[in-house]
Amino acid sequence: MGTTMTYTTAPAWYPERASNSGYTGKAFSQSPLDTDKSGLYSAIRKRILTASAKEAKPRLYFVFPVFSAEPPTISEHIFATIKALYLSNTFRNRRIAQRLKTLYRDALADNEDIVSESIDQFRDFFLANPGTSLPKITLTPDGTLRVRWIHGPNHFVAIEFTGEPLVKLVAEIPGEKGATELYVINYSVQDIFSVAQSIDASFE
Amino acid sequence: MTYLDPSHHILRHVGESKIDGDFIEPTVFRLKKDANTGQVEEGLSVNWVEYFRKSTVEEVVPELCEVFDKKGRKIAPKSKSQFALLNVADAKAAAMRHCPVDIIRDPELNDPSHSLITGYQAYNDLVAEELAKVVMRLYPARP
Repeated sequence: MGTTMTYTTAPAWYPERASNSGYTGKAFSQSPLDTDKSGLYSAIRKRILTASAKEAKPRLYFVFPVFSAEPPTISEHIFATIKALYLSNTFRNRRIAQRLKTLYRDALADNEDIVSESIDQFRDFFLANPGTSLPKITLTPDGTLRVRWIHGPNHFVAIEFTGEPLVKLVAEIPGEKGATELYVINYSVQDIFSVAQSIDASFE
Repeated sequence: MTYLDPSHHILRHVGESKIDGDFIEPTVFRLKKDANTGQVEEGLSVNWVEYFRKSTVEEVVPELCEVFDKKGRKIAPKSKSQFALLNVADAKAAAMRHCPVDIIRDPELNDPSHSLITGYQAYNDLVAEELAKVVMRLYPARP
């Protein structure tokens, strides 16, 4: 089922759009009322017209078809993610949205797929963690999104949004005497900060 | 099995979506896993530069693009994809931090310079990170 939840106020052509989108609200036939002048029918007609006028007021409604059995396409996923990042109204998220747009265009040019579950994880992570800085954002050959915060030579932390319950944390952390430790850890995205902290990896 | 000379070089194609500024996504050196069987591929596809007998890598790239075209992996004329150049000895030494790898010739019908980096299935992510560190230079596929 489509899950796009974009709302807006109805424009002037709302009734037509609503009927085209499968809206099944009750229709009122005017013809019998127009000809009958009795007090009872006038009262009924007045009530119906009042009700119709109330319905015609601007209201919230779904812009996209909501009652669809089709799952959202990748382009819809990308579009919704870009929109959500833009609407979050932070400089970092706008930059991420721009990068995602470029990445999608590049993927299309190379006939590459992007895993929709990976896009969801990616979006949720950045919307929930506004304090992280802007990372490098790329697509893996598996079609999953990967982000990397580079702090220096042989010093980075990366998250691969696998689209599965566990994401992949990859980090290289400098140790003593110039040596580094390279980590590859699969963990739930909710706990990724505590895992990163335990190995001195930073997303800033 | 023919091993490539340690002084020789290999090229690996890197798609646009794997590059962000000056950063190359190390997963381009990761062995692919079959989604159905879960089997990791035997080796990473690369091309042996010295096979082409050219004086510069820039001269090799257009020929390699033709090879890719013949194999059905068409690189669009306006593609911003690149070829990453690695030295055989450097690549083997970098991977050695985790496990030894072989770089062998694996000629194909339409791709006689085709070669493979093999032996790191168990250290896939780690070796991929190390290989990315020893990329000598990037060459645009369509300059």
